[in-house]
Amino acid sequence: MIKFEKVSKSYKSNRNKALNELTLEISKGEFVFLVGPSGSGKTTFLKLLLREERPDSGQIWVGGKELGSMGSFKVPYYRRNLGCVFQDFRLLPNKTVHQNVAFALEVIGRSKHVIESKVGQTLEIVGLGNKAHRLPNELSGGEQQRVAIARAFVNRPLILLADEPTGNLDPATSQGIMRILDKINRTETTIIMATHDVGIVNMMRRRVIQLDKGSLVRDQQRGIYGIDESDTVEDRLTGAVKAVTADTTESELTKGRRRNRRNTEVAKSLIAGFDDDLDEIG
Amino acid sequence: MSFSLSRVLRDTFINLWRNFQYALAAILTVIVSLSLVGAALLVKQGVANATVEWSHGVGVSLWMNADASNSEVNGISTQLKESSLIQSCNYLNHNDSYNLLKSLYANQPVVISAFTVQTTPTIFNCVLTNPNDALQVYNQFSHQPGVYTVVYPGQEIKTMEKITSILQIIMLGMALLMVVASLVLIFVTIRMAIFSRRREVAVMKLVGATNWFIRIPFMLEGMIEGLIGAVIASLLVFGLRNIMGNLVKNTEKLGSSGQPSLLSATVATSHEAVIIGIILIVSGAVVGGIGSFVAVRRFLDV
Repeated sequence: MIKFEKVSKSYKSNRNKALNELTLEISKGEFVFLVGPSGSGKTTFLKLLLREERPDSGQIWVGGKELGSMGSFKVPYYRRNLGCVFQDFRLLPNKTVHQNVAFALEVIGRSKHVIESKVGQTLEIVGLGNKAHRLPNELSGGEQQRVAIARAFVNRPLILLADEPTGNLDPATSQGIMRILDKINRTETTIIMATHDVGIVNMMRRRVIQLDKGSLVRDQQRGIYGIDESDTVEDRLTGAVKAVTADTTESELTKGRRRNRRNTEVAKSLIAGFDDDLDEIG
Repeated sequence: MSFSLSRVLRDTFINLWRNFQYALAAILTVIVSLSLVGAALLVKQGVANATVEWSHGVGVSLWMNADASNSEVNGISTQLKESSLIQSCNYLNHNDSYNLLKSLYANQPVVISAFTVQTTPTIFNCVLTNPNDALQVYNQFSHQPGVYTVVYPGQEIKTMEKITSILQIIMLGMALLMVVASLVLIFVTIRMAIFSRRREVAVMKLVGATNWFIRIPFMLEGMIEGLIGAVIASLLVFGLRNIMGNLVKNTEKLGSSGQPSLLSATVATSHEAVIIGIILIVSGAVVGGIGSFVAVRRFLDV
């Protein structure tokens, strides 16, 4: 479905590479978390997939098409296969929920008949069938994000890209959003979600791709977020323990292994440091 | 991919309405600039018409001395007939020219009373083979015995042409500056329109609307602004032509000389005014189209 081959990308304003020879593959229907600190290349990764940016070198294949060599007049048609959700929702404030979702179909020339049936259906999926005629500013943050998801999904894209979709939402609301994304994922839609939300990554246990300074440092099936200094003791412990177990199960992974080992060492030292706490909790 | 015309038009007019102040400024500038262009064209056409009319209709008049002898008159008459510069001549004897004098100065009896039939000079009114040869005719005949003076309108026409051509250059220069101003204003208006709809544009790009689908409403908006301005400008130019026409008609009535006034030739015909109007409307659309196209190219790239 998606294949990155030694993809590098740098921006004029920054000497460091935003992505450095990134190679990975994502198959159809996968749910992938993209994690890493700010500036690690997550957004660049999504922009490259959207073909908002072109790679400096390397190739990106999506559904059998190479994005770097794609003519710019083909890009709009390519993007019809993608859906996009952002942290800040990006709804049109002067349009109702229904109009916001319908807009995505109108501007690609779908017929009124198709629009009517699909918009209603999609609003039901995200649980907003009863709020179709509200304006975005009359909705809660979680509801607004659900409208954004409906807009991204209404054309039934093959891939849904989500850039920190829960970044502005409280944990309970975030879980609601994740349930919807999970539901969409079950329709064979590939989902790639960049996030800093530890709780959600750990709860979902899906594939985790971790980037750091533009390089792949971890690619793990049913992974967790990793180690984060700001976590609670408990979070850090479970995270560290899982990072260790995860590392042992991904011996087949050759890329980024050295980095992983360093992570493991950090994790082990953390475990040692928190042994006492563990005893107390246990 | 089907372009829905109603949708495109609706978007265009929503844009126009949202940007009303900028659109108004752009339209007003287009009106002023194209009116100037139209007025310049009107004057140019009028002068061209008048030049043709004057040089064809009048030719050269040879005024004889009132006391010129018959042999002198016959000599001039023969020379005029033989000259290749002259196409034909019409001789007004003392009676004819006295009658013309009476009709020309009907309301100024003082002038008429100063003349009698015998003291009124006789006149040869001649049509030239080539209107540009008037000066040669002047040089050849003005010093002949019995000739009082040779009157030809060439010099006046030349002066007139010079003045109007300078006037035209000034008007066209100002018009050009104004056209540039309208281009810039339409550019700015469309830029503002794009800015005020940046959210929608971002969403359209994201969900895969084609570039032309996004661009066309903005380009139409610029063209419509240019067109509205141009239509109003051409109406103004029509109005100007009619005012000029009426003024000339009134002057003719006042003069009541019975001769067609030379001034009437300076008014462009309504047929010519229609052509000028079409030129203005096309240039309005072109100015609007170019201004908005540049804005769209600069601010709406993928």
